[in-house]
Amino acid sequence: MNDYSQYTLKWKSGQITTTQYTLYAIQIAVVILLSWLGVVATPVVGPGIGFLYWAYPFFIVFTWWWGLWGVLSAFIGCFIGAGLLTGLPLIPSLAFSVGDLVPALLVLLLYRGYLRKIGVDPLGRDILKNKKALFWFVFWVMGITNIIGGLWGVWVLVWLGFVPANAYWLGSALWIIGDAIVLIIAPFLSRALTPIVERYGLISKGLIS
Amino acid sequence: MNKRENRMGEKRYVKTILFNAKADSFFVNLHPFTKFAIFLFLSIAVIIAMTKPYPDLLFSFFIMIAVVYFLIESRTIKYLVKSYLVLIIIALFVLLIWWLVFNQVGVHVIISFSIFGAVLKITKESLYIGLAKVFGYGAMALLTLLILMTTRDIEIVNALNQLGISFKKTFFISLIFRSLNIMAEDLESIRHAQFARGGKTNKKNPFLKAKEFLALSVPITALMIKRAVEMGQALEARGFSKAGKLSQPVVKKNIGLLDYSFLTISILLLYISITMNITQVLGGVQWLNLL
Repeated sequence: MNDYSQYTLKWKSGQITTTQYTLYAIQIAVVILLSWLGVVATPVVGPGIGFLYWAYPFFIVFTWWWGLWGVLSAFIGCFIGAGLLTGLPLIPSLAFSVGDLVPALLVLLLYRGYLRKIGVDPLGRDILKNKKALFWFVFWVMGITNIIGGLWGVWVLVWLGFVPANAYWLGSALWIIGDAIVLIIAPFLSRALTPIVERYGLISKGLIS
Repeated sequence: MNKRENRMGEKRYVKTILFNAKADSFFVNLHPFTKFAIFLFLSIAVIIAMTKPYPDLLFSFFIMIAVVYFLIESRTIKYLVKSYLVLIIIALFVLLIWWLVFNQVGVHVIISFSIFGAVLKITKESLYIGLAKVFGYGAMALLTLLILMTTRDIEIVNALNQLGISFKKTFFISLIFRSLNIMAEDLESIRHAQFARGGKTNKKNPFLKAKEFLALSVPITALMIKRAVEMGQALEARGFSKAGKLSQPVVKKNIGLLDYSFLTISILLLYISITMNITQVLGGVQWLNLL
């Protein structure tokens, strides 16, 4: 039986070791790489909108494991990988990266705050075997937070003149559906790898350590 | 004499964030702060030009031509053509289609057709707006790639160091940049290993594609953790946690005349974009009648 109460919203829970320090940097690099692949190696369905954004399930799992470092990887990954490295300008990249930062942050807050108290694994290991965990994953991660991210991201593109206002709902729908499809990976990833990450003592029990 | 060196033994090309660039080109020798400022000012200028009620197509076109010149001058255009041209063309084409389909404005109809019962018309006005968006987006995309292809990761680290940011933070950023190539190579190795075992299927169904990606995602994450543990141990063996400050930068740059010149030009372009519409000044409205 896992003790979920050890994963909290406390700022720090011990010192950051050198291994954790390198891990946080490397996971950001991985999210940058996958964000870039998500845009260049999948069908572009609209200006700045790749259909299968592979980085999404990764930064969700990294957020479960490493708290705010996962949130940071969501933001930097989108800003550099899906933004600058694909040729998107500075301001649009910065603005639409918020569309990844906010969902990751909301996922962190709910899982570490409320869900662990009602018996849902804050590291997402039980999504495939616990109905309550499955409901929250579909409702919160694939649903609400993903919708917020999609609506924000496409609104930024409309605001900056890249997407016509009339195409707002279609663009948002494609963004949200694409992200929901790739998010299917997250529970499998968490179930397969969380025990290894735990064994190495690399899970952040607080927000940053 | 090495082909990549001149007669003095100096490097002709330097490794940058994306690919290589000519060592003595204008953009390579600009200070990272200057590049950042140019990037910011010109991005704002083009966005203003694109979002005007009557978009300033000529302004964006001018910026695009200038950026292409610097891509040629820094010898980075070949990498852009090889790795990004198709991507950019597709993105620009999709952008144009979206603007033609979802921006049904104007009265001067060029062509009109019906799709699923809905009548779509392409007018001179909607075509002009679509093209203005294409040139604006294209100019910004090329500018971003120019900056990335002429900037070295070490320069960014040194610039942050110059700002007085602590050693651990600057080293963290340099680790991110250095890990990018390592992880890209790891990802490629895993893919090749899976192809060798018959893993490549080229499925079109997005659900099957997601399932296929799952096979890739577990090894890449496991490898990432392994790399971090190895790197952490190597750093610790070199006394990382006891290290006080960063060693002297390898490449030290100061802001010079070239930087001030580029900064002045970009501020001037931003001012022009805010205060006037070059296309209208040059009679662009009348050009629509030529279509």
